[in-house]
Amino acid sequence: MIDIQNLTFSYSKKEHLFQELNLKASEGSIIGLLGKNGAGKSTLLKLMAGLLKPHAGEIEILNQNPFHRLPSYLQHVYFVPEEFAVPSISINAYVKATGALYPDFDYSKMAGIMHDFELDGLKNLGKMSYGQKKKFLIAFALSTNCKLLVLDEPTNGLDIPSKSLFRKVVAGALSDDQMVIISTHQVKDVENLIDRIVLIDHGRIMFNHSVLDVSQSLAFHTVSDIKDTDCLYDEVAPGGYRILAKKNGTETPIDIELLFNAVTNGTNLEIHESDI
Amino acid sequence: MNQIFNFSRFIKLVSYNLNIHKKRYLLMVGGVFAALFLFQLVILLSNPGWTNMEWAGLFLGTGIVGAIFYFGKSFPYLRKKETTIDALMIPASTFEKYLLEIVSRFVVYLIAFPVIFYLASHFSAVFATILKEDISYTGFMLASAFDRVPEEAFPVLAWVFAFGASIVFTGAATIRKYPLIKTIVFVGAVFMVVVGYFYMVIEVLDLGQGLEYVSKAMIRSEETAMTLVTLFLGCSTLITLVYAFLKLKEREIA
Repeated sequence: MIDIQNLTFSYSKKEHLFQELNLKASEGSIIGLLGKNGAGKSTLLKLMAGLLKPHAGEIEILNQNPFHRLPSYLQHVYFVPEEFAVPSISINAYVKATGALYPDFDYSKMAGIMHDFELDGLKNLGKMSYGQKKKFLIAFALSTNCKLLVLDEPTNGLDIPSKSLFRKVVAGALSDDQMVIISTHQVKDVENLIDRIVLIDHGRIMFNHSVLDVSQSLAFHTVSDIKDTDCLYDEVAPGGYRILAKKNGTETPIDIELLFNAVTNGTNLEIHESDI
Repeated sequence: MNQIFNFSRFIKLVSYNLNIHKKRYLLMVGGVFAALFLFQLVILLSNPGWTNMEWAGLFLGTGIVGAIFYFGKSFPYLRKKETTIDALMIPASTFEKYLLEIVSRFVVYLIAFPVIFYLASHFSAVFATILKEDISYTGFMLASAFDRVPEEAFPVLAWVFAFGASIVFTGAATIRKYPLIKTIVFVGAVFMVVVGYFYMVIEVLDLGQGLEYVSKAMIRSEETAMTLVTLFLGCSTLITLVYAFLKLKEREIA
């Protein structure tokens, strides 16, 4: 579904944001795109959405060049940006006006997600809070049944119950032929949701593995002392250390934050790719 | 599915646009009507012998000023990053989005303005007659307004209008912040440079003999002159509009 080859992009002539970046991904996955501030997460999403033109290299999504912004592409890709604008009309009016533009739009799904998010269809979008608007856009994005959903910092502005509801709704609303890319710097918000972790740093994809492969190859522990422990990476934590080690029998929940820090600090992690 | 233009998709886009912006459009029509009505009423009350010729002048004056403002506000979604993203991601082709803007600016204005002006003039004439009991005012009559303008001048005037409108329209497609002001300043600067150059060449340096020879050889009659001007304005309008389309097509959001 996504095939990015040797992507080069920059905002200024002096410094490249991406230099020969490569990424491949297929449908049926929820990808967590993680990276530091300024790493280029939002830019990569905009390039995928067709809002920016690569300076070199190729982006092919759904067998199309996103920057051509053809209707057949836009009908199957929905982008929820971090900062967005909504018109000052009721939710119902917006859904009626905009839903018709998406051939696979599911109105009953929209009603269900709106119910889950406790959104009132008669409410004016312009008078809603940022978090409510974001929930509405997420609900709309999921209801379009687009093959690719690109969500830039979707949990920003959501309250704590809404964040867990977001995970539940996203996980429950997708089919096997869809893909979601979630860019976030709040890794806790997407834990237990994503099934592939892509880390971006210094203009390159530093890490691109499925959650399954990570959990089969690495173990995450909290220990009081790191002496005599064969760890790949460690961090001081309250009560001791958080360590990342090669998996040795027991499966542990993935600590994405620790994994992120390990990768960005240059730790060499050997992950065995599964056949799945 | 046609990726450039599909009629049913275009209709959906038009319907989307109307549904999203209907409040704004209604307010705009109401606002323009109210402003024209009050303006015309003031003019009528201070000019008792107001004729249809004067109505025609007012119609042209307000029509041109209105057009500059209205066309200068084309592509309103391009002013803000968030609305630009929203508009560019709408599942319709760039050509359909562009065509919608052409229709909602050029076509709608050319139909709506005369209608609003006509209605406002008749309402203001009725009110002015009520307020000044001794004078009977009549509203604007479009059919007889331009009787004194030669028929052959209409195409040239229409193209002058189209060219001017297309420049302002293209400015709005190209410039993000304050497009109208920047376009007027830019066009003014280009105009000054061109006029200044020819003034220097013809008047100051007296190098215009060649130009005079060429123009006399090419333009032998008034009809040829009109055709050449129409051709020049037509081509310029077309190029300007194509440029606006390409700017929209290549639009990027940083």
